[in-house]
Amino acid sequence: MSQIRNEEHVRDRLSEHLEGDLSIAEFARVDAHLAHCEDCAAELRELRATVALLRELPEPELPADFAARVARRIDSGEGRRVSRVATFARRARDPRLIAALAAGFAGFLLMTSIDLDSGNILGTPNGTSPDQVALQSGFGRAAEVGATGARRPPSLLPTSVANWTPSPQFRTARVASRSIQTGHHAGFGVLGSAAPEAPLRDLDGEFEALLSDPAAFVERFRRTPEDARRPMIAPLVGYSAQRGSIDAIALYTSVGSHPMVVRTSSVGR
Amino acid sequence: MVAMSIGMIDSTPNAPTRAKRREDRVQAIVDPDHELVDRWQSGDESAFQELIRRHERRVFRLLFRMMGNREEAEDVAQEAFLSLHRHGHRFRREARFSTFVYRVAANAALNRRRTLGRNRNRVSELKVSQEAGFELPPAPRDPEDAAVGAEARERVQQALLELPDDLRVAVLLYDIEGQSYQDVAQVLGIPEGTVKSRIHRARNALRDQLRSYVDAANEVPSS
Repeated sequence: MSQIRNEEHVRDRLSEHLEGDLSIAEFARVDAHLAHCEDCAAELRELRATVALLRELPEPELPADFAARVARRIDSGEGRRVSRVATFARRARDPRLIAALAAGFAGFLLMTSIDLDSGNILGTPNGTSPDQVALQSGFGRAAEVGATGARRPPSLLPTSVANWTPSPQFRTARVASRSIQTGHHAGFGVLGSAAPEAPLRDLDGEFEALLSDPAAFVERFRRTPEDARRPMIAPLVGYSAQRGSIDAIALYTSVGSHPMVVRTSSVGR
Repeated sequence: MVAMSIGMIDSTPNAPTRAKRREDRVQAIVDPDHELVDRWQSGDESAFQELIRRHERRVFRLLFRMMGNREEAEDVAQEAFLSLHRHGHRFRREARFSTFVYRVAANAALNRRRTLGRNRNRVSELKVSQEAGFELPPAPRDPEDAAVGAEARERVQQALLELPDDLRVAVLLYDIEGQSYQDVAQVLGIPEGTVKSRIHRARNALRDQLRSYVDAANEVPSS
């Protein structure tokens, strides 16, 4: 226990003195100092007044149906990541972010059509690898997405995406869990945009980053106004917060505000 | 040498194991939410609803003061309870459930503040003044006093928002939420000494920001 000499100022003990959080001996020493040191006594009064101002702040009024709102969100199975993006988009009132969200949702719909046992897209012959199926049917799916206004002819796709060759890890990826089907899918992350001519090996590098640290990858979701003005190439990530792993990836692009899913695959460790 | 000695002490037959020490700690905690948490962790969703109702006010109060506006506070509060619901199985009763709730809420607020960045914070601070009216008592007896009080409250909230996040959350938990130093340390995952230091620095910064109100409060009325 440190000693406080009377001739020393006791400013660093004033908060504890105020709360009675000193030993009896220390309290007595601080008190003795305060009795003859107007500077420290004034500082104690100021601290007391400051704390009083804080404690006089009124109780904010909680919305009456707060618990019910939380319950509805729990019942709907809303995932954290989806919620974060949705909230951000709603708050920002930014149609470009909403477009990104729509693109993500389109990708999510596509991913949920993957048979997680076989890795095949439902309705296609068994025995075809997930990537082959995804590559073959990606544009078909994009056409379906087009029903929501996202249809674009393949010719508008950035050349670099159309010619993209998946990395070995991406090609050999397998479906790892049922989490999407069982409702554990917690949302998605969208990587920031890149110019159409951006080297695609960078995307492969992003997949590596994604696999090594999914949470950090998803956290990188940021779009700037500059991003939104460019055609976007971005991997869409099925992220399972519960498993802490990636379940599926869809690569999509957008031209203007129209999202289009071009490739999907599933990933397992 | 030190490490070896510690190892020997731990390995003596009479020394409590880590699991035993944890068990002792858990048994020492009196938690009014114990039964509800039991029911919830056993799958009773209605128990979680009751837990929300028990803790929603304190969570909202903390987040309102952390975020600076009602809409943001409610949104983060919802996120906090969703997160709590999602990760509740991790609660191991080494602290009171209310401490766990504060921890989840504080983390949600700090994450949101980091995500939104400084530009959004400025907007939030502006909203404080717009929302001050919601906090006014409905029928002030003395309009002049009420106006001064409202202005002071608005200024206090602004001063809070100007604090660094780590100081603000510490002083809110201690001075407004009435948590002990030990509880604040558990919520924030920092040593008690650091908690005391942050609270002291926060109070000093607030005092400097609120100088005119502090001086007015200290004026001795002349007889």
